[in-house]
Amino acid sequence: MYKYVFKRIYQLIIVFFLFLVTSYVLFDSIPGNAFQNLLLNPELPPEAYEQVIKLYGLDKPLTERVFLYIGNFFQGDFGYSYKHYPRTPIDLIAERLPRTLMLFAMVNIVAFYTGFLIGKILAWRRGSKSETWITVTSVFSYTIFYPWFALMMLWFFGYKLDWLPIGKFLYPEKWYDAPYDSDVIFVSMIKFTAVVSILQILVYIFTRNIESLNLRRNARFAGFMVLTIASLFYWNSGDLLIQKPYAMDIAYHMILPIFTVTVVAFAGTALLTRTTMMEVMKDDFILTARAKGLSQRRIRDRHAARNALLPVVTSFIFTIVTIIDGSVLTETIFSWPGMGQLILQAVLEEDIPVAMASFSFIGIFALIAHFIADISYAYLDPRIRIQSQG
Amino acid sequence: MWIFCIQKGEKLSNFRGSKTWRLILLFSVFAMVVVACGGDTAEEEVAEEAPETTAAPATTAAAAEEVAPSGPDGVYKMAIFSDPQSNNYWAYYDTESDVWTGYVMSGQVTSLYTLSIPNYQLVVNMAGELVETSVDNGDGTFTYNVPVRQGYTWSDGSPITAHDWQFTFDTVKGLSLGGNFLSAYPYLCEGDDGASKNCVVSIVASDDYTVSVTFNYDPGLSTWQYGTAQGPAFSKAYWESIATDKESLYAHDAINAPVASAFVYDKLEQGAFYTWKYDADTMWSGGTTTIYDGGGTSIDWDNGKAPAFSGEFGNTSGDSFSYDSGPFVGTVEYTLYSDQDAAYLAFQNGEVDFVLNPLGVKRNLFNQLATVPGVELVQNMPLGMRYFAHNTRLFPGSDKAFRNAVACVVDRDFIINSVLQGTVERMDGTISGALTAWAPPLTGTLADCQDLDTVGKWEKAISILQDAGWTADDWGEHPGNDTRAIPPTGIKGPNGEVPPEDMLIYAPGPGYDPLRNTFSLFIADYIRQLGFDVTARPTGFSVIVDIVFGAENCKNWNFYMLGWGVGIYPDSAVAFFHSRNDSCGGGFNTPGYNNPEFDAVADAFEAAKTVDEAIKLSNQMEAILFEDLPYLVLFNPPVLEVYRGDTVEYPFTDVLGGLTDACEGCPGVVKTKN
Repeated sequence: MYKYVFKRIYQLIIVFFLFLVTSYVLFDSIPGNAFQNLLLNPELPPEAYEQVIKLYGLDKPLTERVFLYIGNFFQGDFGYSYKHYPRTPIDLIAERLPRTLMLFAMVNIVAFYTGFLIGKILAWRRGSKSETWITVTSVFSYTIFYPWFALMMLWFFGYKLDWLPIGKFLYPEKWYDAPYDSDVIFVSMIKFTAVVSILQILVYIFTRNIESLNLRRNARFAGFMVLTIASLFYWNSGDLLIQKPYAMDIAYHMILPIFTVTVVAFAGTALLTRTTMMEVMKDDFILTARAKGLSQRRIRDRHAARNALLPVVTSFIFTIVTIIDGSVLTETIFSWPGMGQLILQAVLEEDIPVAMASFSFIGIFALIAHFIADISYAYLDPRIRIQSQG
Repeated sequence: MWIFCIQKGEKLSNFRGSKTWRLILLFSVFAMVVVACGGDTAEEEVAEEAPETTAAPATTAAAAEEVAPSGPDGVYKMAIFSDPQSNNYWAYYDTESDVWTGYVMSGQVTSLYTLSIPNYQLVVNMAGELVETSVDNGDGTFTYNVPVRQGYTWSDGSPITAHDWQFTFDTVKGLSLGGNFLSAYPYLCEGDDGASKNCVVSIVASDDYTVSVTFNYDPGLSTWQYGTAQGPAFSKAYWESIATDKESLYAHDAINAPVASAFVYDKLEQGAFYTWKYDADTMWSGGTTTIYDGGGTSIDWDNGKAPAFSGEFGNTSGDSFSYDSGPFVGTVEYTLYSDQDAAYLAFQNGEVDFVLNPLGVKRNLFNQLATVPGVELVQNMPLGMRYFAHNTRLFPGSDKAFRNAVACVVDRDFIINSVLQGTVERMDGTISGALTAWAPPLTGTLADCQDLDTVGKWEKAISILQDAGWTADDWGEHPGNDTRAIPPTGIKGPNGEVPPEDMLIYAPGPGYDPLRNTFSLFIADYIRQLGFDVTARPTGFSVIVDIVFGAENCKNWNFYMLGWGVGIYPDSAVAFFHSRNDSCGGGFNTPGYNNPEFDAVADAFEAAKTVDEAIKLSNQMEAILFEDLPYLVLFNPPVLEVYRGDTVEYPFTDVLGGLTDACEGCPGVVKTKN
């Protein structure tokens, strides 16, 4: 097992090094550079361009710049943003990350949970009319052209019905006299969401061995109610009381993007769950459960769904990366200034330090996610352990 | 979560009346009571506690307890599409000079001269008068001594004096600042090769209210009146201790930097919105500006707070209209929308009054918005042009007859009117037709071919080539206006040169600019009808820039199409065509055009001291360019803008460049209706 882990770590280091070199070379090979606007302004003398190219070392050969960058990277020096000098990429990422974390953590949880529930029901109702139309709807939403769909949602809910805001993450007029900036509120919201999620999971874990289905559900519902009431107390105390209206404003602006992404994203999980669960339901232990006289719901939820969860959770682990990098399309269409927009802007403006730092951050996160998945598989599947030992 | 709740609800309904149900019901009632009480308490506590908050972050300018300033109220809301990169004018004026940063930037600087809007007349700003003549110091240097008006202060109360200009120049030079500073204060007096260059030698405060600007040559209008005299000056009192090094200077959060304007920064919420608020103590408000048909401007400033001033500039004859300067709004809000469609939806919804968009609204959206109640449409000509360039370093672009033949055969009117449905305005020279005093009469081949039909243009183009000594195995023929010409075969230059095969016209792709892309396809076809193997190559904008602006590639292309945005003073022909600016040496003369006659006129133009003299010389330059045609200037799309006429009104909407380009949405003069 240890040998397998070390081997994977060794591979990850090589992959990350190649990732850094390849990313830098690719960014550099984009035609033009971040200071092209100086080159195209006839009001400016040519020295303006030459001076800035020298200042940022862009007059040096590519190989020299690549190795200089990688050397500095491993010393924690990410350089200065070309476009936001003298801010560093880490400054910019720190500013944008909470906004993306908040939105996409919620999006992923809601989309995954909805997808899993619907997938479970689909597999169980195989052959029914409801399975047909839910599957058709899922495939439709899975394959819909997302930018068009998102704009339609904006138009319908924001403009036509005027129920929800047209993009942005706040109403400016509500924030004119805000004693906090939005990042403070986002951080509070993230902390709150994380704590509530952990508590909700704990409730789930502690109640999972309650044999009676009704009692277990009631206990979970009670736990949910307690958490809700505790949350109300929490948001009505101390500093958070002042933050509450601003947090509510942000939460209100999150509804449409979360709903829109969920409609598109849940289908992937639903279809995967359906397929996996249908396979599981062919297994002998399901037949055994039925023979024991267990209720249909119990067989579905406690026997079939649990065993079908493994590949679904694996896919969820990989989608967690999107919590960090956000989504360029979602953030652009809903004017949500997070990591996705930062990356897009950095790439379009060829702000290589910011683009590299953002991609490296995502790369590290993705590699760690894969590493955890690999180790989990090795742990769960003895064949992988044995193969690596062999 | 909603599915979870529905499930629970269904389940609970099955055992209504049980002990568990009663317990949960009790919980729910308790929860509702808590929520109800909690809500009331929250509101009361917010009202009481908010003023006590001391942990306001640095970006928060206004504490909740501040008393609302007296002055105008109302909010003017504008949409922007990109996050400003800085709130520090030093950083903005250097490399972070994107338009969005500029729109939101507060008035942290002042200048000696400025331009009146909407007629772009040169007027004084902080100068007491327009000083047009320099003093010859006898040592090769020339000095402009400009009086600074007294009694004016920055928003922090420190006086505006000549020392602010001296401090600004010393800082720019001392810290080797770049970008636009190199244009406003060209302090480099020596090139990399050690050769002497035209530069500003010094800016000193001769006394508290006299700025002396010394050049190592005698500059003309473009360098002095439209250059250094309009350069920014910062408050010495505020910035002196900060400007120790470039990094510290640019990193400084300038939210509290003093301004010479009626608005100060209020709330800057990165990624969301930015606001200015009216400064109740400002002296920078009011005044009447009168614009004359003759092109001149008269100014009458007397608001009772600042020293009164009045003056007339330019030709103040003919009819006139006047407008009062504000501000007439208490808050200016810039809201960020990353997506243009979302921004215009918000505009239709009345969430913003105006969308700052340097490219204007797309034509189809413009037409669609015309039907929305309360929306007013504005259409203006921009400053700039779209053009087709020859590489005059390479055959056949090096041949004047070839360039003239191309200019003649390309039927710009047909493309504009029949293909592009008249959505753009034809341009002939590098000067916008809207600058009526400057635009020269059309001469040369373009004038000769202007009224010819398609066949006539082709025949004229062929005759131009034949007259210049070009030969062909077969000169071909043109069957009629509705069809293509049968092109000449075996065409050769006057000295027997064979034109290269597969020459490319680099042009922006349809995604970037469908207009230029369409034009390039037609131009390639027209040139093929003259017997040349030319193909349009739509490609990325940056690819074209790399090819045509890189010194190393200056001989690796034949034709390209791009556009220029230019300043209000029409001196760009010098940058584009003077031989000293050849792009092989890093300049803007991408065609490599080299004509000593043009260079001489351009040099005289740069030294011109008066507008009349400059116009005369500019016309001469244009006449030479009409003969030589290194560029075939094509068209310019009008700037289309929209605003909410039901909520705001402007004193003028006809302005070259549009409301975005000319006055950044005009927050200083706009009035709100509600």
